[in-house]
Amino acid sequence: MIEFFKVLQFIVENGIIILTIFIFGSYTALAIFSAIAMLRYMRKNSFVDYNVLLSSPLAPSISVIAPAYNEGKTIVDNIRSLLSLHYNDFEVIIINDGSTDDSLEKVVKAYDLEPVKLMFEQKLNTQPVKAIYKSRNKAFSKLVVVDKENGGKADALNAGINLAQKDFISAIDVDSILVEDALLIMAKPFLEEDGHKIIASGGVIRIANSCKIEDGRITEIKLPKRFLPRMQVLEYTRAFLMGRMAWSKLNGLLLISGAFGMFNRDVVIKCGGYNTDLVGEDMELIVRMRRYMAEHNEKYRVIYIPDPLCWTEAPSTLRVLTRQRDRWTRGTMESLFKHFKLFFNPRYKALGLLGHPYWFFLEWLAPIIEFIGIVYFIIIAILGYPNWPFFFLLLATVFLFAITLSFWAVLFEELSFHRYNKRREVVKMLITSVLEPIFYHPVILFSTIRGNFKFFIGEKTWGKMERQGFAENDDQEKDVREVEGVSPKTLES
Amino acid sequence: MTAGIKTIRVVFTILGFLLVSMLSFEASGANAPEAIVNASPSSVEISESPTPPYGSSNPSLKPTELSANGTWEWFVNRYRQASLKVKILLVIVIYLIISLTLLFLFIIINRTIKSRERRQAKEIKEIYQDELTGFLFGEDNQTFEFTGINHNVNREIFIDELISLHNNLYGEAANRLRDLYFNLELYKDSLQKVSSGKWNVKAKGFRELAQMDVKDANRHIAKFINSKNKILRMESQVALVKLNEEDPLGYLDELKYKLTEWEQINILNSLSYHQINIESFDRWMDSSNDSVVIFVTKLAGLYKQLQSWPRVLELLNHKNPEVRRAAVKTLDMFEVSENASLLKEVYFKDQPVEEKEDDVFYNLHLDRNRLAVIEAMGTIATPDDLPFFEQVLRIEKNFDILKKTTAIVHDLDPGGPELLNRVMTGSTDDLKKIIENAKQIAVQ
Repeated sequence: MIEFFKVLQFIVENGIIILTIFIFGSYTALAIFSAIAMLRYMRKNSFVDYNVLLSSPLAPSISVIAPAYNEGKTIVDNIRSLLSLHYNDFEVIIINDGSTDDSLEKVVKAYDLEPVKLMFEQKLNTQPVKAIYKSRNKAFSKLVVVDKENGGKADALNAGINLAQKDFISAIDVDSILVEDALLIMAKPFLEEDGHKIIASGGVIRIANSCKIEDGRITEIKLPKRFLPRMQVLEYTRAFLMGRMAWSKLNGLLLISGAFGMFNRDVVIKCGGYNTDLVGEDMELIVRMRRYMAEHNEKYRVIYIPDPLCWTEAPSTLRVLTRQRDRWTRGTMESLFKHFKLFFNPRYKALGLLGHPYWFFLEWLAPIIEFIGIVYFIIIAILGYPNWPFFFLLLATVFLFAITLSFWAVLFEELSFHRYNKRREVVKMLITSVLEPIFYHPVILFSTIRGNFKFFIGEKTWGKMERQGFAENDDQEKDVREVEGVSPKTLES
Repeated sequence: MTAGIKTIRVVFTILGFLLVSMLSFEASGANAPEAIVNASPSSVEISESPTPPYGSSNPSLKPTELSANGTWEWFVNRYRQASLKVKILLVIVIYLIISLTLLFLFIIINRTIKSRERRQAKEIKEIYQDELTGFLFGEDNQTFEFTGINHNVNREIFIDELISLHNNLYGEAANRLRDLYFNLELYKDSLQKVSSGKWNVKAKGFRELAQMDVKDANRHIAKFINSKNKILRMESQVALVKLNEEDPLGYLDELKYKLTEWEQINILNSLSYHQINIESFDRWMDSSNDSVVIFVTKLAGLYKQLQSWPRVLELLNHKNPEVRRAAVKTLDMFEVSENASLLKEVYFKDQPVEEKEDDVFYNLHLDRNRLAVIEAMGTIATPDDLPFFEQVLRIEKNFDILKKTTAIVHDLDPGGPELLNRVMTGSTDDLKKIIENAKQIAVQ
């Protein structure tokens, strides 16, 4: 028995070292790629005048699709915010996905809507559309409101795609706050096609908790005062600035956040639109689009834009956070297993050889190994065979590496967009970096394991996302509301 | 700030303590001490057996009892005696501690320096804004002096302000700023930028020279229209449009790369902004670069250059479907009724191709071309075109095209509504719905 444990210990400890070095190497490589890509982007972007798109007759048109479910408290303001985006030729399609509150009545009244006879092709199957509304007021001519039977976010997005008339489609969460130039910035990569078809572009999602918001716009950026949202700021910064930037450079990006993305409408339709049976429909769509292009021997790219274009509210309670993360885990697993054909398949180039395996090993498998490692250590400790020096050194290594990555992320933010102006906020971010592995990471690990468990027992619910609501002018959080069917804002890089 | 330093200090102290403790554990018999004491590196490998229970540490090796002078020696000895995996982890830990410290310092120092630089730059910028305003609108601008302009950083800020102001002014004020740019020999700075090895500095130089209309720079900039760097390529084109008054788009003859839509938008913006008129775009309509053909065809439509009509008609037979679509859209802008017969030919020519079904975009292009034809026909159609539309309604599968055709036919009087009623008999359910919808919309 003792011999067995010694052999097991030898295998596990050496395996862990190899895995640790592999993970560190991967993250370091991603950080280097990100740094190169970010530097180039910042230089390149200094020459861009997005306003040329505003008045150009050659600019493409965009359909902004925003599903809404029981958003009655804020939907009127959210729509106003969307209609005031800086872009010339665009339409805003709001999908009321069978809300049970007074969302529709409020919107009809606020925007003077009337039902219209609008014929559209059912390119993608959805729950029945009950009515389509447009405004009598010409000032709101860009607005289209669709009232349909409840079918979930993916179904609502598909209904919006069926109705979209413009060149590109942009899917957003109706309660996210977009910066005014978001469409201009997001559309640009599609205009730079040069041999490779751009099938999707996505931007950074930032956390708006504690930020000052007026008329649906962020007027002052502040670091969240509450502990959990602040942890997520760090996490988002690390994932978006250090992860996705690199994956975009490697053409291996597997995810455009559901909170804000822009897509080639034709490719989305040819791929069958969003999958309504999944909880991670945003990631799965991108994987399917990429797979479709690769299987048709088309050169393509998915572009990531590091500019902070979209601000959203992060969960501020443990209950909501863990629920959100376990859903994200299930979403990741759905995409990985549904498209397992990609795994190390050279036919799919970077997608098959890098993107899919990376997500498989580092985003899905690594937390499971970590969990098994903890269970293993507890058993060994109980049985009296722990290698304490090894354990403490490994712990210190992982802990320090996690902090180092976070410090790099803070540095990236400092050297690029520099959104947190006060020195106190930077110091807070650094302190958060130190505390995160101790207090926050275990919570995320727990949620991930729970997500795995739920996936394997076949649970496919979204759960309810409890939101505090953005407060105007201060960070007092008001209007607690229950929202079902909001976007999974998957963070994994 | 103080809290941050304190926290970091505490964390490092704890880590340091952990490290020393670990080495103590590792060396104190935890890994078969009798094998390790005289170990060579290879024997250390062998000694990598799992740790016996509880790490029975020798009290004489406790770090707390070590003298200060002996600490380093003790540390080195324990390191030599440690197993390979512990050595690896130890090296990584030390590396990470050093990295973290340096990163922390760099972030804080960088923030301090950058804040100071930004503050100073803002102050200098405000000074130059005031001085330039004084220069433009003050009484005596002949002997005007600008603060610290010989300093490199200041000079760069001054050029930026000058260019920015010039961009927003017209007429006499703009001319005076341009004179100032030459009198202060700032064009030399801009030309120097063009010679820089850094592409972003080069591109900035292009912008400055173009904004200030430095004609001599033309030849320096023209070299970059086929640069591999996309930004240089675009910036050089935009600059040449401004600088080459006689032939603003002449460089298109030499362009080897695809003219992206973003470049097209920027070039058009430059043409509009500087109010540059080009008599004819015909010369590029037979370019071997299809993107150039598409661009100039669009321009011919936007500038309503009806004299290009015959050349645009020729493009309806171009092999590239995107060129054909650009030609159809331009003809739509011309609104010439003689286009009808040729447009109809394009419609029948651009039917979906079965062999190309695996090509993701080929048939989509053809669908768009047919839709563009129907839209163009919508502006010039007469009841004489009803037979064509009837054929479309009977053979067309694309929903958007059917919907558009139905709407056009419904408004064609006389004969349009009657045609819809006739087509409805025996048509598919989808087409019936489309026609019903067109009628309902008309009633609304």
